[in-house]
Amino acid sequence: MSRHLVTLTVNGAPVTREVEAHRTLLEVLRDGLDLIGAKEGCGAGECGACTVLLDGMPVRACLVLAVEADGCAVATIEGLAAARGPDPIQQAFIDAGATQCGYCIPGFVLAARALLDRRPDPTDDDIVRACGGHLCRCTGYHTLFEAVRLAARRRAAG
Amino acid sequence: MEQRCIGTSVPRVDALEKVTGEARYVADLSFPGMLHAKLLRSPHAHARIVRIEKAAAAAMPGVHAVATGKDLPWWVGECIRDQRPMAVETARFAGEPVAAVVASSEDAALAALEAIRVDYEPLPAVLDARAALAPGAPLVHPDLGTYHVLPGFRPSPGTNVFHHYFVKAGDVTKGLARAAVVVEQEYEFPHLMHTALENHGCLARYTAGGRLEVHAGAQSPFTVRNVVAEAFGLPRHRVSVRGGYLGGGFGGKSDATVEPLTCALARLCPGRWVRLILDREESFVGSVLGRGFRGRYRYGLTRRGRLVAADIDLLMAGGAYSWTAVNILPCAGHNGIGPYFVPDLEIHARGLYTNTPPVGAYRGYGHPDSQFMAERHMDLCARAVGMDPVAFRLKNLLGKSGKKNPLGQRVDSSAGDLEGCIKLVAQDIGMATSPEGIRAREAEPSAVSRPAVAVGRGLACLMKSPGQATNAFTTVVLKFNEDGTVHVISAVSEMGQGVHTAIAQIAADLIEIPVEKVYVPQGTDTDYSPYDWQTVASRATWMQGRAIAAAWEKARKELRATAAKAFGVPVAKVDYRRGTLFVRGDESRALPLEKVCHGYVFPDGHAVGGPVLVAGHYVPHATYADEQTGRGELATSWTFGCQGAEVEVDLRTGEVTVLRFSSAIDVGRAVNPELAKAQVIGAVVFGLGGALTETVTWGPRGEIRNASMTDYKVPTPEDVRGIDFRVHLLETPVPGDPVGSRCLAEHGAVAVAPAIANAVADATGVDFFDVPLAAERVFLALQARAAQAPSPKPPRKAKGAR
Amino acid sequence: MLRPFDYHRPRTLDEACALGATLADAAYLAGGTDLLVKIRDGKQRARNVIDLKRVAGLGRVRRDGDHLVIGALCTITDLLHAEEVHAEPGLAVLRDAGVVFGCEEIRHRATVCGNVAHASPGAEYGSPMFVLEADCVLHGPAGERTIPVADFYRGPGRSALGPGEILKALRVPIAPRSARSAYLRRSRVRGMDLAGLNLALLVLDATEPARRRVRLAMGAVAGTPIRAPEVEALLSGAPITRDRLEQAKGALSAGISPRPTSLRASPEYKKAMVAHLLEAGLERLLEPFPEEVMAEASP
Repeated sequence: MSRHLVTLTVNGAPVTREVEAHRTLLEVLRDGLDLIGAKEGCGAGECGACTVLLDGMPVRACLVLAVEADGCAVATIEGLAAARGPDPIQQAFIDAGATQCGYCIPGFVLAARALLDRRPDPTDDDIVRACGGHLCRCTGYHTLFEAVRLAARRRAAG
Repeated sequence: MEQRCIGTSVPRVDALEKVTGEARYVADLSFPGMLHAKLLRSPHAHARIVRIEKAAAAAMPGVHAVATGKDLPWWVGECIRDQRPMAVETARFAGEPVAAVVASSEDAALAALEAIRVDYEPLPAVLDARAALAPGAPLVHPDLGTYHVLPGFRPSPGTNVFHHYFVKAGDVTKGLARAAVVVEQEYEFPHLMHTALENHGCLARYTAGGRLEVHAGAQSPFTVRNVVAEAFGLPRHRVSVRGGYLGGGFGGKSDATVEPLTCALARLCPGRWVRLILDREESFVGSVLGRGFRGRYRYGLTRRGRLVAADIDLLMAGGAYSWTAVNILPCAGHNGIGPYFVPDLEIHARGLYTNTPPVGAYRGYGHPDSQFMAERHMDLCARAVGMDPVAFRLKNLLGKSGKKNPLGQRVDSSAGDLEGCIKLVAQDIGMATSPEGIRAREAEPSAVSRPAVAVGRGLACLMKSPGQATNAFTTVVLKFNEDGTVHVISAVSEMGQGVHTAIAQIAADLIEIPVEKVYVPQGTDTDYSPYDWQTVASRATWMQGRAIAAAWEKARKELRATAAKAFGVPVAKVDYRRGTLFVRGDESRALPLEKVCHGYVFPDGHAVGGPVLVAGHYVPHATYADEQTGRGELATSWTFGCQGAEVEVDLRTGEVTVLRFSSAIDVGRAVNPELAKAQVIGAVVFGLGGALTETVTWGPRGEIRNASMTDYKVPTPEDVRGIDFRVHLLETPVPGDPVGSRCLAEHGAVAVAPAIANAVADATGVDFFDVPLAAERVFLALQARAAQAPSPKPPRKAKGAR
Repeated sequence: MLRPFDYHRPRTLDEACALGATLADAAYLAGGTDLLVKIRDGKQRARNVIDLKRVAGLGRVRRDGDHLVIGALCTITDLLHAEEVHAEPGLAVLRDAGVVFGCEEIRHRATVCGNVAHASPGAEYGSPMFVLEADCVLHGPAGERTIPVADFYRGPGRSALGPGEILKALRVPIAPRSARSAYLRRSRVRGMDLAGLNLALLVLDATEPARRRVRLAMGAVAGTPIRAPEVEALLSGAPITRDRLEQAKGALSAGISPRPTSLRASPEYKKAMVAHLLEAGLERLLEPFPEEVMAEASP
């Protein structure tokens, strides 16, 4: 198995690692960098728990090789909260009561972040299209939708 | 107790950790020098393991141990000890582990796994309960007679029956013979898979000093300790099990699944942490399944619609090992008629070993399984006597009558306002029978049938009591800190339900301090946490509330005693209110809690009293089932409710769209209304999966063909976005309970399937006696019906009112 | 987990093709959303993974006269952002397929060419490419060749790609603005799912019954996507009456023999649903449809 030196920017900080070719981005984030917010729910791109932002686009980290991410910027859930407190989207998820077991939450929050960055005033259709590939077994989704709507309203209010 | 915090929707205490990604789950733990385990699984449903060649694997780089079942000479199982950590001579289900590699990396473990050669001799398999019951069926456990079995469980050696629960009241044969109308039907609730987003996992280390340390993704750390200690013959205090956040449980993590095996492998690698995390496919086939019931219901009724007799026969395809399945049978059994009164009844619930993955607790624990059948049967009976299904249910309700349930317990309106629940749901979905209800619904826009789309409505009731051991204690510790804040230490597991928030609210109100002063530490450690039986059965909030009340009584005594010394008065003259201790009749002589709860220091410096640290426990009064009748104090708390659906069926594709889903549940007291409502909606959607799209597809060799999220379809955001959810939380408090709350976590899932099936029958005239009502099945049923009746059915009534 | 492999990152097409032709168990990687799942599940043995994403000249999507050229690196998201799939009614079928493809995260990585190259009979872009009669531009060690998509698919998971050959681009004819097109499918849930079966429709001269040509292609009902020439003929060149439509639906159902082993839809359901999708698709595409269908043509 070949080994490769990859350089990524992870949550704004440059990271250089030697990785095996078959290591996924998810594995390198979790095992190499202890960024355990992204989860493996299925390993096959079906559930969304592994979602991270790759150059601003939400992707399934379990289906991206670490070597493919060489030279890219990766944003994980850990990169959202700042010293002064949670990101407004994170706060909206708290206030809308959208967390239960929490396993789908990092992926959902990042998908919402990517959506609101592109489309600050999303329709319900936009929300479902952006988050439609995220499974949640606990909430039944309605509080999750409400969290994204709340985040959008608050962002618009400034 | 004045309830100031209880009943308010304080924000969850764990939300921040979860939205920032700080929350750790078992797969997020890592220790220096940690080893990784991977499992080789049988492809056969039933096979003799002739030979396993592992020498090549053992020699590969990074490999610390290669184990087969023979290397792990321990027995696992509560109730019926019928399982080994891995198959020994016989693999009993496709997916059962037969060999394990422990290595320095997952890659090394997987590579070594590929080098293991297993020779199997396939054996005839039984893949469903009826086949397992048939005379001459291959035996899954030929040695059933040699297993250790706890009293109260009745396996039949020489057969595949691992338990037979029954309950009898009156004389069902006479009752049916006398009945003017008899309605009989067979039903099935096939297996489901939990599909919690977090896979199963465990880390274990067997120390040089002979202690076993475990991090388990488990709902019940004390049960894991129990099972593991018993298996290895270790005293309890040499096993410490820690539990943290769970990424969903739903019952699938409530007993022990991967923990015994992980601990067994740790024993082979002393001193090192061994990590076993299942991947998604393994979580499907290698943990536990849910449901798996067949039932035959035969009811006798009068022509005027009164139920007089019920003869119910239930069979469960319990899987290859029974100890996680066996207790589901009494629950499916004694609650199997639903919340109705029937004087003459006999209910049998038999568990069959089958060569399929073991069944375990699955949200609702037998209640959705048999009440799907009971509630379909109520609609069939109503139809048979020409009665409206709502009126028929109201006529036969158990609650208000003060009559006895199948267990012989008297149930009256103090157990819950089921009639109120039914009326609210009926009104929501347009099935109200009262003039006001009809008027209220007509004021709203109503879905109408149109060409190729049929609209229908249906409802179903639910009743659930917690299925738990008679000695299922819960304990809690109150630990007062120097500043008057309080730790409430509990071993309940947080898996999404928000239980720590509810506990904090209860403690705050009992102690009469602001909830901000209460801290419920997250995470359990059997070395430090007070004993709790299991976080299951929706029991945590209710039972913890009683335990906290018991603990607070002790704490109050101690506080008053210390304050009495401080004031120099008899204890009887000291009162406590809202964080203050004072002398009755002279309230200027008062001390705040923080001056007393860590002892009191006199002006000259000497201290009296001490840090207040108290424990309280609770268990409801319960008994075993009577050997002859099956009756007894098995049900210790009641939650009643009703659920209903308004659906649209696209007749061209069979697709069922839920327009509105209403749930009305008597929760006793909603400790945190928003959390309660969120639980109910989550449970409804969970139930909709089982009702509409989830099903296990079995292959010809007894393997699960759809053990992936690609092909096991749980509800997605798109599926639920248009549903108008209604949730009503009624409150008939539990008599004599300081909080008054009833069990709730599972209940939103209990009546979903029959409500949907009843609504689809109303829309289309097609009766389903099983689930799921997937588009293809509905369509093909419609097509088959059309083939039998060439003249088209008249269109369903367009208007909402009946 | 993925089993180990070597990773290669060629800079030129010729280099990529040479690697593919000479390395053992070589696989090309574009989006990875199919390939990596297959490697994980042990369904494809890949000892050498050749990443196409740094290869010069592979391109995304551009218009070339009356063709849309979809390059090997065009993701589903790229295609959905292409003006043509929204402006040209004859390309709406590509937009429809993109909107139901996987989910947002998958769409950002998966490529159209990759979807076609894996040659799954039910692939979202299989039946659309068949109905549009797209051409596949293959580039290999021996040079470049162009073959019709109907020749590209050889069987379930088997394509015409030889060793070291890459599906470099799909050339999709853009029909005149008098055309209409659509993609429909049945799936088990409304959200992310593979298709149980799908139907792609292209109607040329949609509003002129006498000149109208209907093309249709179905996915996941046979070993490859398939057309249905007799049914197309029935629906072309004349008003589509109710009788004619029922005849077409019946012929379409009768003309397929799906295998019984699908996890996603049974043969009976597929047979019924191709007929339903045909009617639903025509309903959507032909606005005068109801009146036209009501007009009786048979005695």
